[in-house]
Amino acid sequence: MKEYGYHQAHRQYTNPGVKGTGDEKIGTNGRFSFKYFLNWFVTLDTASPGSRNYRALPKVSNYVFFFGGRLRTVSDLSSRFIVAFAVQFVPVVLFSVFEAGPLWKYGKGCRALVVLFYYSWALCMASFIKTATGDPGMLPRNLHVPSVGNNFEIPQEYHNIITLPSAHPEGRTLDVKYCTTCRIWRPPRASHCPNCDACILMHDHHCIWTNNCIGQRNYRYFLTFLAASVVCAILCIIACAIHVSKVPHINSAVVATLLIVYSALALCYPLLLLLFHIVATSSQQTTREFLKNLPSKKAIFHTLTSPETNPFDHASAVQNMLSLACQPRGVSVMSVRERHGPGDWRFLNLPQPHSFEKNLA
Amino acid sequence: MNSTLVSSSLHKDAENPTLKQALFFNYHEFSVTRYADLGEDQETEHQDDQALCITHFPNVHCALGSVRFQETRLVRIPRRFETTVDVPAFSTQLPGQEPAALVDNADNVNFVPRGVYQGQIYGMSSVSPLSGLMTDAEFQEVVETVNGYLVKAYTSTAGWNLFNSFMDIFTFQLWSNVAVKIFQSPLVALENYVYELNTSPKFQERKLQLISPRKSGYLSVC
Repeated sequence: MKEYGYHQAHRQYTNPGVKGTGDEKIGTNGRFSFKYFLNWFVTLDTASPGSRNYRALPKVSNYVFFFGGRLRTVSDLSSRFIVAFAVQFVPVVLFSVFEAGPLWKYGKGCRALVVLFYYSWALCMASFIKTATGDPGMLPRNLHVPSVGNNFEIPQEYHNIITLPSAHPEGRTLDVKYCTTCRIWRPPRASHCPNCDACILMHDHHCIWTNNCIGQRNYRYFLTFLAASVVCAILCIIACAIHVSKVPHINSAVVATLLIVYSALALCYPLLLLLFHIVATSSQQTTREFLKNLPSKKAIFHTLTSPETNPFDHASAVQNMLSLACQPRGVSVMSVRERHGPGDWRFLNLPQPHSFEKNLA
Repeated sequence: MNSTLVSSSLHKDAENPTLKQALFFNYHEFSVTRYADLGEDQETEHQDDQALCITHFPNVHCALGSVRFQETRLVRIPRRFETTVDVPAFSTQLPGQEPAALVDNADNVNFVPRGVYQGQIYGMSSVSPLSGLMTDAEFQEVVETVNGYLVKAYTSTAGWNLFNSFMDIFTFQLWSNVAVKIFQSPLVALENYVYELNTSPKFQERKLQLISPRKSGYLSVC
Protein backbone atom coordinates (compact mmCIF):
# COMPACT_ATOMS: atom_id res chain seq x y z
CA MET A 1 0.00 0.00 0.00
CA LYS A 2 1.47 3.30 -1.02
CA GLU A 3 1.88 6.17 1.36
CA TYR A 4 0.05 9.08 -0.13
CA GLY A 5 0.45 12.70 0.64
CA TYR A 6 2.24 12.35 3.94
CA HIS A 7 5.23 14.32 2.76
CA GLN A 8 3.09 16.74 0.83
CA ALA A 9 1.34 18.41 3.75
CA HIS A 10 3.20 21.63 3.89
CA ARG A 11 3.68 23.30 7.23
CA GLN A 12 3.71 19.95 8.99
CA TYR A 13 2.50 20.43 12.49
CA THR A 14 4.50 18.87 15.26
CA ASN A 15 3.44 19.00 18.82
CA PRO A 16 6.13 20.12 21.22
CA GLY A 17 3.83 19.44 24.18
CA VAL A 18 5.24 15.95 23.94
CA LYS A 19 8.55 16.06 25.72
CA GLY A 20 11.74 16.23 23.74
CA THR A 21 10.32 17.49 20.44
CA GLY A 22 10.01 21.00 19.10
CA ASP A 23 11.94 24.19 19.72
CA GLU A 24 10.72 25.19 23.11
CA LYS A 25 11.13 22.58 25.79
CA ILE A 26 8.37 22.66 28.31
CA GLY A 27 10.00 20.34 30.76
CA THR A 28 9.25 20.17 34.45
CA ASN A 29 11.67 23.02 35.12
CA GLY A 30 10.77 25.17 32.13
CA ARG A 31 7.04 24.81 32.65
CA PHE A 32 6.76 28.03 34.60
CA SER A 33 9.27 29.92 32.54
CA PHE A 34 8.50 33.52 31.68
CA LYS A 35 7.97 32.73 28.00
CA TYR A 36 5.55 29.96 28.86
CA PHE A 37 3.63 32.32 31.14
CA LEU A 38 3.60 35.01 28.46
CA ASN A 39 2.20 32.56 25.94
CA TRP A 40 -0.39 31.50 28.49
CA PHE A 41 -1.34 35.11 29.12
CA VAL A 42 -1.60 36.05 25.44
CA THR A 43 -1.52 33.30 22.83
CA LEU A 44 -0.73 34.68 19.40
CA ASP A 45 0.06 32.69 16.27
CA THR A 46 3.73 33.14 17.14
CA ALA A 47 3.31 31.07 20.30
CA SER A 48 4.98 27.70 20.21
CA PRO A 49 2.25 25.06 19.89
CA GLY A 50 1.50 23.14 23.06
CA SER A 51 -0.63 20.16 23.80
CA ARG A 52 -3.67 22.23 24.66
CA ASN A 53 -5.86 23.33 21.78
CA TYR A 54 -5.62 27.06 22.45
CA ARG A 55 -1.89 26.92 21.76
CA ALA A 56 -2.39 25.55 18.26
CA LEU A 57 -5.61 27.33 17.26
CA PRO A 58 -4.11 30.79 16.49
CA LYS A 59 -2.08 29.11 13.72
CA VAL A 60 -5.18 27.93 11.84
CA SER A 61 -7.53 30.80 12.65
CA ASN A 62 -7.36 34.51 13.41
CA TYR A 63 -8.09 34.05 17.08
CA VAL A 64 -5.94 35.40 19.87
CA PHE A 65 -6.38 33.81 23.28
CA PHE A 66 -5.86 35.15 26.79
CA PHE A 67 -5.43 33.43 30.15
CA GLY A 68 -4.81 29.97 28.76
CA GLY A 69 -7.55 30.13 26.16
CA ARG A 70 -10.26 31.25 28.59
CA LEU A 71 -10.88 34.52 26.76
CA ARG A 72 -10.58 35.17 23.06
CA THR A 73 -10.68 37.91 20.50
CA VAL A 74 -9.88 38.18 16.83
CA SER A 75 -6.54 39.66 15.84
CA ASP A 76 -7.67 42.99 14.53
CA LEU A 77 -5.66 46.16 14.93
CA SER A 78 -8.66 48.49 15.02
CA SER A 79 -9.63 49.45 18.54
CA ARG A 80 -13.40 49.27 18.14
CA PHE A 81 -13.68 46.81 20.99
CA ILE A 82 -12.04 49.31 23.36
CA VAL A 83 -14.36 52.06 22.08
CA ALA A 84 -17.42 49.86 22.66
CA PHE A 85 -16.13 49.03 26.13
CA ALA A 86 -15.47 52.68 26.98
CA VAL A 87 -18.89 53.76 25.72
CA GLN A 88 -20.43 51.51 28.36
CA PHE A 89 -17.92 52.24 31.09
CA VAL A 90 -17.68 56.04 31.08
CA PRO A 91 -21.36 56.82 31.88
CA VAL A 92 -21.44 54.46 34.84
CA VAL A 93 -18.41 56.20 36.34
CA LEU A 94 -20.07 59.61 35.90
CA PHE A 95 -23.33 58.22 37.28
CA SER A 96 -21.62 56.74 40.34
CA VAL A 97 -19.71 59.92 41.13
CA PHE A 98 -22.35 62.57 40.47
CA GLU A 99 -25.80 60.94 40.36
CA ALA A 100 -26.04 57.91 42.63
CA GLY A 101 -25.50 59.94 45.86
CA PRO A 102 -28.18 62.62 45.32
CA LEU A 103 -30.67 60.08 43.89
CA TRP A 104 -30.25 57.80 46.90
CA LYS A 105 -31.47 60.65 49.14
CA TYR A 106 -34.66 61.19 47.14
CA GLY A 107 -36.44 58.20 48.69
CA LYS A 108 -37.26 54.56 48.07
CA GLY A 109 -38.47 54.91 44.49
CA CYS A 110 -35.21 56.49 43.39
CA ARG A 111 -33.17 53.96 45.33
CA ALA A 112 -34.92 51.17 43.42
CA LEU A 113 -34.10 53.02 40.23
CA VAL A 114 -30.40 53.20 41.17
CA VAL A 115 -30.32 49.49 42.00
CA LEU A 116 -32.07 48.61 38.74
CA PHE A 117 -29.67 50.80 36.79
CA TYR A 118 -26.63 49.06 38.28
CA TYR A 119 -28.23 45.64 37.73
CA SER A 120 -28.97 46.29 34.05
CA TRP A 121 -25.52 47.81 33.56
CA ALA A 122 -23.81 44.78 35.13
CA LEU A 123 -25.91 42.43 32.99
CA CYS A 124 -25.07 44.49 29.90
CA MET A 125 -21.34 44.39 30.69
CA ALA A 126 -21.34 40.68 31.56
CA SER A 127 -23.21 39.81 28.36
CA PHE A 128 -20.89 42.01 26.33
CA ILE A 129 -17.80 40.32 27.73
CA LYS A 130 -19.33 36.85 27.27
CA THR A 131 -20.29 37.65 23.67
CA ALA A 132 -16.93 39.14 22.83
CA THR A 133 -14.64 36.67 24.54
CA GLY A 134 -16.57 33.41 24.28
CA ASP A 135 -16.79 30.69 21.66
CA PRO A 136 -19.34 31.63 18.98
CA GLY A 137 -19.53 27.99 17.80
CA MET A 138 -16.30 27.47 15.92
CA LEU A 139 -16.13 24.29 13.86
CA PRO A 140 -12.96 22.18 13.71
CA ARG A 141 -11.02 22.04 10.46
CA ASN A 142 -10.16 19.17 8.12
CA LEU A 143 -12.86 16.82 9.38
CA HIS A 144 -13.97 15.94 5.87
CA VAL A 145 -10.74 15.64 3.94
CA PRO A 146 -11.79 13.53 0.95
CA SER A 147 -8.37 12.19 -0.04
CA VAL A 148 -4.70 12.66 0.71
CA GLY A 149 -3.47 11.93 -2.82
CA ASN A 150 -2.57 14.63 -5.36
CA ASN A 151 -1.75 17.17 -2.69
CA PHE A 152 -5.01 16.70 -0.79
CA GLU A 153 -7.06 17.21 -3.91
CA ILE A 154 -10.70 18.20 -3.59
CA PRO A 155 -12.94 16.40 -6.10
CA GLN A 156 -15.19 18.34 -8.45
CA GLU A 157 -18.33 17.10 -6.64
CA TYR A 158 -17.25 18.96 -3.50
CA HIS A 159 -17.55 22.31 -5.28
CA ASN A 160 -21.28 21.81 -5.89
CA ILE A 161 -23.99 23.21 -3.68
CA ILE A 162 -26.02 20.21 -2.58
CA THR A 163 -29.78 20.59 -2.36
CA LEU A 164 -31.34 18.24 0.15
CA PRO A 165 -34.90 17.66 1.32
CA SER A 166 -35.91 19.23 4.64
CA ALA A 167 -38.54 18.57 7.28
CA HIS A 168 -40.62 21.54 6.12
CA PRO A 169 -44.22 20.41 5.46
CA GLU A 170 -44.29 22.22 2.09
CA GLY A 171 -41.31 20.24 0.85
CA ARG A 172 -38.84 23.14 0.87
CA THR A 173 -35.23 22.22 0.33
CA LEU A 174 -32.04 23.35 1.99
CA ASP A 175 -28.52 23.74 0.71
CA VAL A 176 -25.35 22.21 2.05
CA LYS A 177 -21.96 23.48 0.98
CA TYR A 178 -18.39 22.26 1.36
CA CYS A 179 -15.98 24.77 2.87
CA THR A 180 -12.78 24.40 0.89
CA THR A 181 -10.79 26.36 3.48
CA CYS A 182 -11.91 24.40 6.53
CA ARG A 183 -12.50 21.22 4.51
CA ILE A 184 -15.79 20.36 6.10
CA TRP A 185 -19.32 19.91 4.81
CA ARG A 186 -20.86 22.85 6.60
CA PRO A 187 -24.24 22.27 8.17
CA PRO A 188 -26.95 24.62 6.89
CA ARG A 189 -26.84 28.13 8.40
CA ALA A 190 -23.15 27.79 9.29
CA SER A 191 -20.71 29.90 7.33
CA HIS A 192 -17.04 30.72 7.06
CA CYS A 193 -16.13 34.03 8.67
CA PRO A 194 -13.21 35.65 6.83
CA ASN A 195 -12.36 37.82 9.85
CA CYS A 196 -12.07 34.86 12.21
CA ASP A 197 -10.93 32.48 9.46
CA ALA A 198 -13.16 29.76 10.82
CA CYS A 199 -16.55 28.22 10.13
CA ILE A 200 -19.12 29.28 12.71
CA LEU A 201 -22.25 27.31 13.61
CA MET A 202 -25.52 29.21 12.97
CA HIS A 203 -23.49 32.18 11.86
CA ASP A 204 -25.42 35.38 12.47
CA HIS A 205 -22.77 37.98 11.68
CA HIS A 206 -19.28 39.08 12.60
CA CYS A 207 -19.72 41.92 15.06
CA ILE A 208 -17.01 44.55 14.68
CA TRP A 209 -17.78 46.08 18.07
CA THR A 210 -17.37 42.89 20.04
CA ASN A 211 -14.66 41.82 17.60
CA ASN A 212 -16.08 38.32 17.53
CA CYS A 213 -18.60 36.35 15.52
CA ILE A 214 -22.16 35.99 16.71
CA GLY A 215 -23.17 32.37 16.32
CA GLN A 216 -24.94 29.47 17.96
CA ARG A 217 -22.99 29.60 21.20
CA ASN A 218 -23.17 33.34 21.96
CA TYR A 219 -26.33 34.56 20.23
CA ARG A 220 -28.33 34.56 23.47
CA TYR A 221 -25.61 36.59 25.20
CA PHE A 222 -25.61 39.02 22.33
CA LEU A 223 -29.39 39.50 22.52
CA THR A 224 -29.19 39.93 26.30
CA PHE A 225 -26.46 42.52 25.78
CA LEU A 226 -28.66 44.50 23.37
CA ALA A 227 -31.73 44.32 25.60
CA ALA A 228 -29.77 45.15 28.76
CA SER A 229 -28.04 48.12 27.16
CA VAL A 230 -31.38 49.53 25.98
CA VAL A 231 -32.90 49.11 29.47
CA CYS A 232 -29.77 50.57 31.06
CA ALA A 233 -29.85 53.68 28.85
CA ILE A 234 -33.57 54.24 29.49
CA LEU A 235 -33.09 53.89 33.26
CA CYS A 236 -30.18 56.31 33.11
CA ILE A 237 -32.35 58.87 31.31
CA ILE A 238 -35.18 58.48 33.86
CA ALA A 239 -32.84 58.69 36.86
CA CYS A 240 -31.04 61.76 35.56
CA ALA A 241 -34.34 63.39 34.57
CA ILE A 242 -35.56 63.00 38.16
CA HIS A 243 -32.35 64.64 39.38
CA VAL A 244 -32.76 67.53 36.95
CA SER A 245 -36.40 68.01 37.98
CA LYS A 246 -35.46 68.24 41.67
CA VAL A 247 -32.82 70.97 41.33
CA PRO A 248 -33.81 74.64 41.13
CA HIS A 249 -31.66 75.38 38.09
CA ILE A 250 -30.19 73.15 35.40
CA ASN A 251 -26.74 74.54 36.16
CA SER A 252 -26.76 72.53 39.37
CA ALA A 253 -27.17 69.26 37.45
CA VAL A 254 -24.77 69.56 34.54
CA VAL A 255 -23.59 65.95 34.64
CA ALA A 256 -27.19 64.72 34.79
CA THR A 257 -28.02 66.73 31.68
CA LEU A 258 -24.92 65.44 29.96
CA LEU A 259 -25.85 61.86 30.85
CA ILE A 260 -29.38 62.33 29.48
CA VAL A 261 -28.00 63.50 26.14
CA TYR A 262 -25.33 60.79 26.13
CA SER A 263 -27.80 58.00 26.99
CA ALA A 264 -30.31 59.18 24.41
CA LEU A 265 -27.62 59.02 21.74
CA ALA A 266 -26.19 55.73 22.99
CA LEU A 267 -29.68 54.24 23.10
CA CYS A 268 -30.27 54.50 19.34
CA TYR A 269 -27.84 51.92 18.03
CA PRO A 270 -28.61 48.99 20.36
CA LEU A 271 -32.34 49.77 20.17
CA LEU A 272 -32.35 49.63 16.37
CA LEU A 273 -30.32 46.43 16.43
CA LEU A 274 -32.63 44.89 19.03
CA LEU A 275 -35.70 45.77 16.96
CA PHE A 276 -34.04 44.29 13.90
CA HIS A 277 -33.23 41.06 15.74
CA ILE A 278 -36.78 40.80 17.06
CA VAL A 279 -38.10 41.05 13.50
CA ALA A 280 -35.39 38.78 12.07
CA THR A 281 -35.84 36.03 14.64
CA SER A 282 -39.62 36.14 14.39
CA SER A 283 -39.29 35.63 10.63
CA GLN A 284 -36.69 32.88 11.19
CA GLN A 285 -33.74 34.64 9.59
CA THR A 286 -30.22 35.22 10.77
CA THR A 287 -28.59 38.57 9.89
CA ARG A 288 -26.58 36.79 7.22
CA GLU A 289 -29.67 35.26 5.65
CA PHE A 290 -31.50 38.58 5.85
CA LEU A 291 -28.73 40.36 3.93
CA LYS A 292 -28.49 37.49 1.45
CA ASN A 293 -32.24 37.61 0.80
CA LEU A 294 -32.25 41.35 0.07
CA PRO A 295 -33.11 41.92 -3.58
CA SER A 296 -31.30 45.27 -3.53
CA LYS A 297 -29.51 47.40 -0.97
CA LYS A 298 -32.40 49.82 -0.76
CA ALA A 299 -35.14 47.27 -0.15
CA ILE A 300 -34.46 46.79 3.54
CA PHE A 301 -38.11 46.19 4.46
CA HIS A 302 -38.50 43.64 1.74
CA THR A 303 -37.41 40.66 3.80
CA LEU A 304 -39.06 41.48 7.09
CA THR A 305 -41.25 38.48 6.42
CA SER A 306 -39.81 35.02 6.06
CA PRO A 307 -38.86 34.22 2.46
CA GLU A 308 -40.99 31.54 0.83
CA THR A 309 -38.05 29.24 0.41
CA ASN A 310 -36.95 29.31 4.06
CA PRO A 311 -36.93 25.67 5.20
CA PHE A 312 -36.47 26.61 8.86
CA ASP A 313 -39.71 28.62 9.12
CA HIS A 314 -42.07 27.38 11.86
CA ALA A 315 -44.99 29.46 10.56
CA SER A 316 -45.42 31.02 14.02
CA ALA A 317 -43.54 34.17 14.99
CA VAL A 318 -43.25 33.13 18.64
CA GLN A 319 -41.92 29.69 17.78
CA ASN A 320 -39.48 31.19 15.32
CA MET A 321 -38.23 33.62 17.92
CA LEU A 322 -37.91 30.92 20.58
CA SER A 323 -36.05 28.55 18.30
CA LEU A 324 -33.48 31.20 17.38
CA ALA A 325 -33.14 33.34 20.51
CA CYS A 326 -33.25 30.39 22.90
CA GLN A 327 -31.37 27.87 20.78
CA PRO A 328 -29.41 25.61 23.13
CA ARG A 329 -25.74 26.46 23.22
CA GLY A 330 -24.60 22.86 23.15
CA VAL A 331 -21.03 22.02 24.01
CA SER A 332 -18.04 23.55 22.28
CA VAL A 333 -16.93 21.38 19.38
CA MET A 334 -13.51 23.01 19.28
CA SER A 335 -12.71 23.14 22.97
CA VAL A 336 -9.80 25.45 23.76
CA ARG A 337 -8.73 23.82 27.00
CA GLU A 338 -8.74 20.23 25.73
CA ARG A 339 -5.50 18.45 24.93
CA HIS A 340 -4.64 17.00 21.55
CA GLY A 341 -2.12 14.47 20.37
CA PRO A 342 0.72 15.11 17.94
CA GLY A 343 -0.22 15.52 14.29
CA ASP A 344 -3.86 16.38 14.98
CA TRP A 345 -5.53 17.13 11.64
CA ARG A 346 -7.62 19.94 13.08
CA PHE A 347 -4.47 22.05 13.32
CA LEU A 348 -2.99 21.27 9.91
CA ASN A 349 -2.77 23.93 7.25
CA LEU A 350 -3.53 21.95 4.12
CA PRO A 351 -2.68 23.42 0.72
CA GLN A 352 -5.23 25.92 -0.57
CA PRO A 353 -7.36 24.26 -3.24
CA HIS A 354 -7.77 27.27 -5.52
CA SER A 355 -4.10 27.35 -6.38
CA PHE A 356 -3.51 26.26 -9.95
CA GLU A 357 0.17 25.78 -9.32
CA LYS A 358 0.09 22.26 -8.04
CA ASN A 359 3.08 20.44 -6.59
CA LEU A 360 4.71 23.68 -5.51
CA ALA A 361 4.39 22.76 -1.87
CA MET B 1 -17.78 -6.54 -15.48
CA ASN B 2 -21.43 -6.79 -16.23
CA SER B 3 -22.80 -4.36 -13.76
CA THR B 4 -24.88 -1.47 -14.89
CA LEU B 5 -24.87 1.47 -12.66
CA VAL B 6 -28.26 2.93 -11.96
CA SER B 7 -27.68 6.48 -10.99
CA SER B 8 -30.57 7.44 -8.85
CA SER B 9 -32.91 10.34 -9.21
CA LEU B 10 -30.89 13.19 -7.79
CA HIS B 11 -28.29 12.79 -10.44
CA LYS B 12 -31.07 12.63 -12.97
CA ASP B 13 -32.62 15.83 -11.65
CA ALA B 14 -30.50 17.98 -13.88
CA GLU B 15 -31.59 16.05 -16.94
CA ASN B 16 -35.22 15.83 -16.02
CA PRO B 17 -36.60 19.21 -14.96
CA THR B 18 -40.10 17.82 -14.33
CA LEU B 19 -38.81 15.77 -11.42
CA LYS B 20 -38.40 18.53 -8.89
CA GLN B 21 -38.40 16.69 -5.60
CA ALA B 22 -34.96 16.60 -4.00
CA LEU B 23 -33.85 13.27 -2.66
CA PHE B 24 -31.32 12.58 0.00
CA PHE B 25 -27.93 11.10 -0.78
CA ASN B 26 -24.60 10.88 1.00
CA TYR B 27 -22.86 14.08 -0.09
CA HIS B 28 -19.52 12.80 1.12
CA GLU B 29 -19.32 10.44 -1.84
CA PHE B 30 -17.59 11.33 -5.06
CA SER B 31 -16.64 9.37 -8.13
CA VAL B 32 -13.36 8.82 -9.92
CA THR B 33 -12.79 7.47 -13.39
CA ARG B 34 -9.02 7.19 -13.22
CA TYR B 35 -8.23 4.14 -11.13
CA ALA B 36 -6.53 0.77 -11.32
CA ASP B 37 -8.63 -2.33 -11.96
CA LEU B 38 -8.39 -5.06 -9.37
CA GLY B 39 -5.17 -7.00 -9.76
CA GLU B 40 -3.50 -4.34 -11.90
CA ASP B 41 -0.92 -1.77 -10.90
CA GLN B 42 -1.41 0.86 -13.57
CA GLU B 43 -4.12 3.48 -13.16
CA THR B 44 -6.17 3.86 -16.32
CA GLU B 45 -8.97 6.13 -17.45
CA HIS B 46 -12.43 4.51 -17.43
CA GLN B 47 -15.80 5.33 -18.91
CA ASP B 48 -18.18 7.46 -16.86
CA ASP B 49 -20.48 4.51 -16.22
CA GLN B 50 -17.52 2.57 -14.85
CA ALA B 51 -16.59 5.23 -12.29
CA LEU B 52 -15.64 4.18 -8.79
CA CYS B 53 -17.74 5.57 -5.95
CA ILE B 54 -15.54 6.73 -3.10
CA THR B 55 -17.33 5.68 0.06
CA HIS B 56 -14.57 5.58 2.65
CA PHE B 57 -12.04 8.24 3.51
CA PRO B 58 -8.69 8.74 5.24
CA ASN B 59 -8.94 8.63 9.00
CA VAL B 60 -8.46 12.25 10.03
CA HIS B 61 -8.75 11.37 13.70
CA CYS B 62 -5.24 9.98 13.95
CA ALA B 63 -1.90 11.43 12.87
CA LEU B 64 -1.09 11.47 9.17
CA GLY B 65 1.25 8.60 8.38
CA SER B 66 0.76 6.78 11.69
CA VAL B 67 0.15 3.03 11.77
CA ARG B 68 -3.42 3.59 12.82
CA PHE B 69 -3.88 5.98 9.90
CA GLN B 70 -2.70 3.26 7.51
CA GLU B 71 -4.94 0.61 9.04
CA THR B 72 -8.22 2.46 9.46
CA ARG B 73 -10.72 4.18 7.20
CA LEU B 74 -13.72 6.40 7.84
CA VAL B 75 -17.20 5.81 6.51
CA ARG B 76 -18.99 9.11 6.95
CA ILE B 77 -22.62 9.09 7.93
CA PRO B 78 -24.02 12.46 6.90
CA ARG B 79 -26.47 14.79 8.58
CA ARG B 80 -30.07 14.47 7.44
CA PHE B 81 -32.80 17.06 7.61
CA GLU B 82 -36.05 15.27 6.74
CA THR B 83 -37.17 14.74 10.33
CA THR B 84 -35.95 18.00 11.83
CA VAL B 85 -34.00 21.04 10.73
CA ASP B 86 -33.40 22.54 14.18
CA VAL B 87 -31.65 19.57 15.75
CA PRO B 88 -28.63 17.75 14.27
CA ALA B 89 -29.72 14.31 13.10
CA PHE B 90 -27.72 11.67 11.30
CA SER B 91 -28.81 9.35 8.53
CA THR B 92 -30.19 6.13 9.96
CA GLN B 93 -29.65 4.26 6.71
CA LEU B 94 -26.42 2.47 5.88
CA PRO B 95 -24.55 4.11 2.98
CA GLY B 96 -26.04 2.73 -0.20
CA GLN B 97 -29.60 2.52 1.17
CA GLU B 98 -30.43 6.22 0.91
CA PRO B 99 -33.17 7.35 -1.50
CA ALA B 100 -30.72 8.75 -4.06
CA ALA B 101 -27.77 6.44 -3.51
CA LEU B 102 -25.92 5.00 -6.46
CA VAL B 103 -27.01 1.40 -6.72
CA ASP B 104 -25.53 -1.52 -8.50
CA ASN B 105 -28.13 -3.68 -10.24
CA ALA B 106 -26.19 -6.87 -9.76
CA ASP B 107 -25.90 -6.57 -6.00
CA ASN B 108 -27.29 -3.63 -4.14
CA VAL B 109 -26.79 -4.79 -0.57
CA ASN B 110 -23.16 -5.81 -0.30
CA PHE B 111 -19.94 -4.00 -0.95
CA VAL B 112 -18.51 -5.25 -4.25
CA PRO B 113 -14.86 -4.29 -4.84
CA ARG B 114 -14.24 -3.00 -8.37
CA GLY B 115 -11.01 -1.09 -8.41
CA VAL B 116 -8.11 0.47 -6.54
CA TYR B 117 -7.78 4.23 -6.14
CA GLN B 118 -4.88 5.72 -4.19
CA GLY B 119 -4.14 2.37 -2.60
CA GLN B 120 -7.68 1.73 -1.38
CA ILE B 121 -10.32 -0.61 -2.74
CA TYR B 122 -13.69 0.81 -3.75
CA GLY B 123 -16.86 -0.38 -5.41
CA MET B 124 -19.03 1.29 -8.00
CA SER B 125 -22.11 1.78 -5.86
CA SER B 126 -22.74 3.86 -2.74
CA VAL B 127 -22.55 0.74 -0.59
CA SER B 128 -19.56 1.04 1.72
CA PRO B 129 -17.54 -1.74 3.35
CA LEU B 130 -19.43 -0.88 6.54
CA SER B 131 -22.38 -2.86 5.18
CA GLY B 132 -20.34 -6.02 5.62
CA LEU B 133 -19.69 -5.24 9.26
CA MET B 134 -23.10 -4.14 10.50
CA THR B 135 -26.65 -5.11 9.72
CA ASP B 136 -29.25 -2.50 8.84
CA ALA B 137 -31.03 -3.00 12.15
CA GLU B 138 -27.84 -2.69 14.21
CA PHE B 139 -26.82 0.46 12.40
CA GLN B 140 -30.25 2.00 12.71
CA GLU B 141 -30.34 1.28 16.44
CA VAL B 142 -26.96 2.96 17.02
CA VAL B 143 -27.74 6.08 14.99
CA GLU B 144 -31.24 6.42 16.45
CA THR B 145 -29.75 6.33 19.95
CA VAL B 146 -27.25 9.05 18.94
CA ASN B 147 -30.07 11.11 17.41
CA GLY B 148 -32.13 10.66 20.58
CA TYR B 149 -29.41 12.29 22.67
CA LEU B 150 -29.12 15.15 20.16
CA VAL B 151 -32.88 15.82 20.29
CA LYS B 152 -32.66 16.07 24.08
CA ALA B 153 -29.70 18.44 23.86
CA TYR B 154 -30.85 20.76 21.08
CA THR B 155 -34.59 21.22 21.63
CA SER B 156 -34.95 24.95 22.24
CA THR B 157 -38.32 24.67 23.98
CA ALA B 158 -37.06 22.18 26.57
CA GLY B 159 -37.80 23.28 30.14
CA TRP B 160 -34.19 23.13 31.29
CA ASN B 161 -33.08 25.31 28.40
CA LEU B 162 -35.60 28.06 29.15
CA PHE B 163 -34.84 27.77 32.88
CA ASN B 164 -31.12 28.20 32.16
CA SER B 165 -31.83 31.30 30.03
CA PHE B 166 -33.75 32.91 32.89
CA MET B 167 -31.16 31.96 35.48
CA ASP B 168 -28.44 33.43 33.26
CA ILE B 169 -30.19 36.79 33.21
CA PHE B 170 -30.50 36.87 37.01
CA THR B 171 -26.93 35.78 37.66
CA PHE B 172 -25.14 37.99 35.11
CA GLN B 173 -24.54 35.04 32.77
CA LEU B 174 -22.68 33.11 35.45
CA TRP B 175 -25.34 30.42 35.87
CA SER B 176 -24.38 28.58 32.69
CA ASN B 177 -20.83 28.18 34.01
CA VAL B 178 -22.21 26.63 37.19
CA ALA B 179 -24.91 24.58 35.45
CA VAL B 180 -22.37 22.69 33.32
CA LYS B 181 -20.74 21.46 36.51
CA ILE B 182 -23.96 20.48 38.28
CA PHE B 183 -26.10 18.94 35.54
CA GLN B 184 -24.93 16.45 32.95
CA SER B 185 -25.65 17.64 29.45
CA PRO B 186 -27.22 15.03 27.16
CA LEU B 187 -24.23 15.65 24.89
CA VAL B 188 -21.86 14.46 27.62
CA ALA B 189 -24.13 11.43 28.11
CA LEU B 190 -23.84 10.85 24.37
CA GLU B 191 -20.04 10.87 24.62
CA ASN B 192 -20.29 8.26 27.37
CA TYR B 193 -22.59 6.15 25.19
CA VAL B 194 -20.11 6.34 22.31
CA TYR B 195 -17.29 5.30 24.64
CA GLU B 196 -19.30 2.34 25.95
CA LEU B 197 -20.23 1.30 22.45
CA ASN B 198 -16.64 1.39 21.27
CA THR B 199 -15.47 -0.73 24.19
CA SER B 200 -18.32 -3.22 23.80
CA PRO B 201 -17.30 -6.69 22.56
CA LYS B 202 -19.65 -6.29 19.58
CA PHE B 203 -17.59 -3.39 18.24
CA GLN B 204 -14.21 -4.65 19.45
CA GLU B 205 -14.56 -7.98 17.66
CA ARG B 206 -15.39 -6.33 14.35
CA LYS B 207 -12.74 -3.63 14.87
CA LEU B 208 -15.44 -1.01 14.46
CA GLN B 209 -15.39 2.39 16.07
CA LEU B 210 -17.90 5.17 16.23
CA ILE B 211 -16.15 8.55 16.15
CA SER B 212 -17.39 10.83 18.89
CA PRO B 213 -19.94 13.22 17.35
CA ARG B 214 -18.53 16.03 19.47
CA LYS B 215 -15.10 15.53 17.94
CA SER B 216 -16.59 15.66 14.47
CA GLY B 217 -18.57 18.80 15.25
CA TYR B 218 -21.92 16.98 15.02
CA LEU B 219 -21.37 16.98 11.27
CA SER B 220 -20.88 13.29 10.62
CA VAL B 221 -20.39 10.07 12.50
CA CYS B 222 -18.56 7.03 11.36
